[in-house]
Amino acid sequence: MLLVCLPALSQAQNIGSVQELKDKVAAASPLLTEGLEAGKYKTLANLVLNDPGIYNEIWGRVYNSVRDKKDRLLFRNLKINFKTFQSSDSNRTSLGFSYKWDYEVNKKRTSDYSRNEFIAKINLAGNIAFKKNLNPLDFQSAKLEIGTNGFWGGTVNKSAAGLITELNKINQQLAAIEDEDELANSQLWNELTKAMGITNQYHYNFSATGGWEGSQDFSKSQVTYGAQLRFSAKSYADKNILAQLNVLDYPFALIRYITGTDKSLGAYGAALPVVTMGIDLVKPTKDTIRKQLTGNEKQFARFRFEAGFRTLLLNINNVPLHFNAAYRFFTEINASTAIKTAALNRYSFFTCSVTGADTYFVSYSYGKLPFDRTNNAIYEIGFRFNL
Amino acid sequence: MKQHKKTFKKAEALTMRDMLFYNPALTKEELKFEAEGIADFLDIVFKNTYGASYETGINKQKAVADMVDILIAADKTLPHLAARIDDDYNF
Repeated sequence: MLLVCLPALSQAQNIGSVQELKDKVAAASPLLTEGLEAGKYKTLANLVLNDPGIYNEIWGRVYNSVRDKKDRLLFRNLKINFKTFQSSDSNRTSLGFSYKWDYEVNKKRTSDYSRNEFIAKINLAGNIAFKKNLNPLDFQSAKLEIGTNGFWGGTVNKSAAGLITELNKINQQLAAIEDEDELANSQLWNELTKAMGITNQYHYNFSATGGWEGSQDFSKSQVTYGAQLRFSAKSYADKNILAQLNVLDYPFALIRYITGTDKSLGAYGAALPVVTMGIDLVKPTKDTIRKQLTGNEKQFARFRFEAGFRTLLLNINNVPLHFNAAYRFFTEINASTAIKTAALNRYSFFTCSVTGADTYFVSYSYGKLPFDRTNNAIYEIGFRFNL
Repeated sequence: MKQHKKTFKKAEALTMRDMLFYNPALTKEELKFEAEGIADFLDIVFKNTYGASYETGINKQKAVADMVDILIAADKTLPHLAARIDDDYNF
């Protein structure tokens, strides 16, 4: 309840008197008012201080005030998200944050029409809980990536001058439609996409990677280097064979059809998953458990597979609900019996959520990442505010 | 591009996190990779379908990078994206 009311309080930017403040507090939260009257200041203070929404609000204002300044290019790429950590085997929680930062060292295209590029970039990411033993996502990494990024397909016909005028007219007609159903079923889409001649897009990234990964307190760490292929295919045209291959979207297509969100039954080609596969050589630098089990900290090879998927679940009163998921899998190649017996050879982590219209979300995560010792089921439910 | 089902007028209020590609479960690199796919396709559509050209001092690299910057920012709206496109392309 308090999580819901506190951000609303921060809307009160023009409070002129104490009475006005009291009125705002009362309007925002009866619970808060009761708490203040009952003298439960310590409990309320703890609730406030442990609410990640407060810190996200503060951080958001700082970030938004400086990110577009030209001399803050490094800062612009920093993302911090405060959140509450809780593992399944404990009711205790800890405030913490996740962070991501990246920087492209070099990025060059040879011409305006080249669709392949050399890339070199650095990125940092991790999860920090202020009580580290309550961090179910105890993983940090720093990576350097060098490789190539490119496309096949994803093109459209070059229109003649007369056709451009026609297509602009069609766009204006589509823009004038004010009903979602009428827009979705308009035959003008067929005319537009047929004239455009859209081809399926295949996007790839092949790169050599190297870096460091470890736990949040640096008590365990390892150096990795290897190669990875990231791939994504998309079909932006209607009724496409590639779209039909999106089997992950089949159950959601059925839900959309049954609920009337879609008038026809079909998977989305624009919702095909993004997939990453890689092989890394891993050199443990601080891993006492591995040393105890194998007697050494020798380098080992690891295969990883990562996939992300998002699609439309349904529309409720024209409010879209999306289903989001990611799966990450790591397995040691030719792991020793001791490592297998200790279940340290394989890690997988699955997370999914349903998010809607920038207001609320429900999420579930299960599994473990390298350096986690147990599988943790994490449930989250929350509300998001635009202030 | 099948990113949303809103009408042109109602789409004004949509942010990037409302788009089909914006999966919050992705890593930042994965999300950027997806955004690059969208931006590359838009760049080709603007040039080929609508006969757009780059504004002075803008090339494909800059135009795509500008679009990606907006696309990966969860709170940026479609009008923000449109404004950036208008800055970089001459339609």
